[in-house]
Amino acid sequence: MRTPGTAEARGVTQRFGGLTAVSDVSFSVGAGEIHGIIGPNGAGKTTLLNILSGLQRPTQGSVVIGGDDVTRWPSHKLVAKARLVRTFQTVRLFSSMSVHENLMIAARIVAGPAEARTRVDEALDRLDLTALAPEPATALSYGLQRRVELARVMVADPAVVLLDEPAAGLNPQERRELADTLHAMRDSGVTVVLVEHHMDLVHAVCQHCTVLDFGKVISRGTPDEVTRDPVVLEAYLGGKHHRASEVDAVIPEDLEGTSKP
Amino acid sequence: MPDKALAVRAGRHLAPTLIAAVILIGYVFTDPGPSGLALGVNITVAAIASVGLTLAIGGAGQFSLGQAGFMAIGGYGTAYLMLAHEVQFLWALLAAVLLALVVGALVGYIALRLHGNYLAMATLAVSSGIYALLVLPGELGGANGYAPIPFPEIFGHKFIDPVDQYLLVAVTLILVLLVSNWLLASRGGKELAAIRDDEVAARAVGVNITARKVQIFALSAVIGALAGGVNGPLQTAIDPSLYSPAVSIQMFVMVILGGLGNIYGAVLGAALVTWLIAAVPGNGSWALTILGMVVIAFMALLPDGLSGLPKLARSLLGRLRGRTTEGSITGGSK
Amino acid sequence: MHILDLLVSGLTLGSIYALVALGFHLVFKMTGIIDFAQGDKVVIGGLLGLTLVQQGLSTVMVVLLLVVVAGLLLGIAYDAIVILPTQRNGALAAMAATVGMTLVLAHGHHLVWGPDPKPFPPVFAGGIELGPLRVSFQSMVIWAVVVAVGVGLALLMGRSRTGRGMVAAATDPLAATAVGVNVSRMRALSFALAFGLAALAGVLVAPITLAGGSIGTALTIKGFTGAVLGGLNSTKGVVLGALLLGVVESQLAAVLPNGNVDPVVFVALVIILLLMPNGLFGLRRQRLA
Repeated sequence: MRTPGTAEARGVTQRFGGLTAVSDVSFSVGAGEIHGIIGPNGAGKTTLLNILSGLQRPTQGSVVIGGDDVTRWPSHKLVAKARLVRTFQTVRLFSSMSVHENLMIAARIVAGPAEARTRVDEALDRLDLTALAPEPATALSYGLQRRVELARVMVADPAVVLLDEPAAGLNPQERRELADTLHAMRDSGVTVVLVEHHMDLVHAVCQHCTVLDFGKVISRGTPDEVTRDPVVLEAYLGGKHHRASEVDAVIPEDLEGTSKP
Repeated sequence: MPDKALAVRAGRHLAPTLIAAVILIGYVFTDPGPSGLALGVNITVAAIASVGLTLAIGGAGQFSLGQAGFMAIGGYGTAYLMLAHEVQFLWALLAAVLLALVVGALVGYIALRLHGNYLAMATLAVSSGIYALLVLPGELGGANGYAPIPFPEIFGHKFIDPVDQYLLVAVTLILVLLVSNWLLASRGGKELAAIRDDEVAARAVGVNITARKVQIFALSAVIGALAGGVNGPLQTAIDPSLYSPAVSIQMFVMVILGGLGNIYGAVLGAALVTWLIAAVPGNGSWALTILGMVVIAFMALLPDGLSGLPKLARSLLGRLRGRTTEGSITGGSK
Repeated sequence: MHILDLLVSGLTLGSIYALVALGFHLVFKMTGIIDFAQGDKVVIGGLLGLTLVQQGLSTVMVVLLLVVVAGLLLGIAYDAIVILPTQRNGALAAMAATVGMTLVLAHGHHLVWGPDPKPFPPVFAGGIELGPLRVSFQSMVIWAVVVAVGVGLALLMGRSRTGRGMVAAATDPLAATAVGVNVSRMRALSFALAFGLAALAGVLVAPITLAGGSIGTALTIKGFTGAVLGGLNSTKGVVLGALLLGVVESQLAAVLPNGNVDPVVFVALVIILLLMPNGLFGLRRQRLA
């Protein structure tokens, strides 16, 4: 059955040689929902996103987007037909091109030349990038590059958007703007799967979360529920697998800053 | 407004081709004499093949060391059909080019799996394999070469006069430049540039990598075969040494010197390399030894090739004036 | 017995490929670069040996030793002049520089020694008869050299401090620097060995193929084919792969109508790269689908 805008992972498993990066992960996201994928470093979040976006084939399991089993679809078909697009943990803009050209590449995949130009202009306007359109994309500051990447996602007129740590490297002000953009996306009916470290952003925008640790789902529920789940706290704050670096560096301040959205 | 902008952009794109056309045709009026025309043919043929190569290398970032193999398909294919089967020049050329299209597409499929060093080695192996086949004794004459190939004839006009022969290759080059120009400015060309910049990101925005890579290798091969196929009959005799792996490497050097992906740079590179081999005494040994050193120097100091010179000059000028161009770009955007 | 004769010549050929392949292996492991001039270094080695012989040096071991030393020094210069300055601009710039180097070596030697291949006096005349099978001393010396080099490298890599340093520097240059390994010295050593072994191969093979000429590119592709057949990442793999290639090539040459195996080998290389990029003995590596 075709159900536009839904995204689903069914028993997805990814093994690399002896290592199981993602183990039997299932979750489903309703149309127009923002779903968070959280978990400590190395939990398999990015691998999962690579599988959802067709850059990697899972060892087992399937991915269903809008009711279609897209597990074996090449990524260009995923974009053109399933209207699924993504961003990357480290921004990946086309370095030889201007901001405008970066957006045009994506827009022309799904639209004719005239409509593509209109869409690019709209996205530039919405994200306040119009003045920077002719600039070389990779000459911009990191925060602006993140915004260009988001604009490049928008011009594809997506049904499902996968974002890999979009708040990484952003200052608090930029993070608030990002939350607004995500809300606007959701309001226009776009489904968002959000991999994120910053719990304040997750609290602010996500309806539901799936928590991964060592490739397995350890908890799911609303942001409030999962942050109170002792299993999640255990995973983040040590226990049997102590991960000193990230506990010290990232998580505590994030959890402290998560009072209420 | 947008229409005017488009026209200006198209004009800017076409201007270098027009200049190239004027120089290429104008050369005839400088009374170059038979040897000058022969050199002109050699330069122009090398330029056609290297424009084809730079589309694959620079346009899409696919390192290929096999362009001579496609020239061989064009040269031997056209010559064989004309001599052994008395096929008309244009039809023979078309058939040979189609064969190159098929082989080029196959190499494109190889490029889907291999990158960088490995792809370069694989294409060098393909080119070397074609050369090794041509050297075998047989119907195509082996190492002794293949002759006598009839002069090309188009609509009853036989290209015997050296000026006519030069004009034939010159017009071919101009057409190839026009097509390449159009391609690079088109949506397909932009997608190729996206693949070169960041293949994973290109996949993520929905670029069909498979189709684009296969297409660009096929086109690159077609242009290489065109160079070989137009040139073969003009030489009346061809032999495998025209298409040896060493020639593939020279083509690569032309593209590197001209700057990856710059079709006019490739023409300049072809002119420079071909002229040096012809002009410097020592049967090419001196010229190629020096060119090898120049390549290393370029890769160390000017990896963008000749086409990087303006950029380098600008940044040097900027530094003289007390500011760098890079600084002005980032500064203005923040 | 025909097959055994072919096995003898195949192992000899494969031994030469192995010396070339080891150079690919050392350079690739240390820098991630595939050196397109690797086969041309062999030609230079052969010509250097020829010059020494023409100068009246008749003690074979001295000639071999001098050529290896010259090769080691050339290798250090090669890294300093060709690779280090270009690698800053990316691995592909360095690769293009090695392609430039093929021109310098392949045409530069024409300027010094002339374009034509030159006969090289047999270094070790004679041979032994084992029943119907005849094995020349030349072949036996080549085998012995490859065994010695293989064992020597294995000992160096596995046992010595220098070898451990090389492995560390190849695996993670930054981490190696942090624990006190002199990474640039390890690099220079790799390039020195790559050139030295190729030069050694040049002297050994010159009596069979002639010295000079334009066999460099073919040797590059053959040596590389042997290396990837065995697995470019594995020292043992490249030697075994190269030996296997030599043996298969000799057997094929006897079967094929013209005895010209080159097209077959070149096609085989493409197939190996496509279907088993890790080779027979190489380390498995994951790649993005």
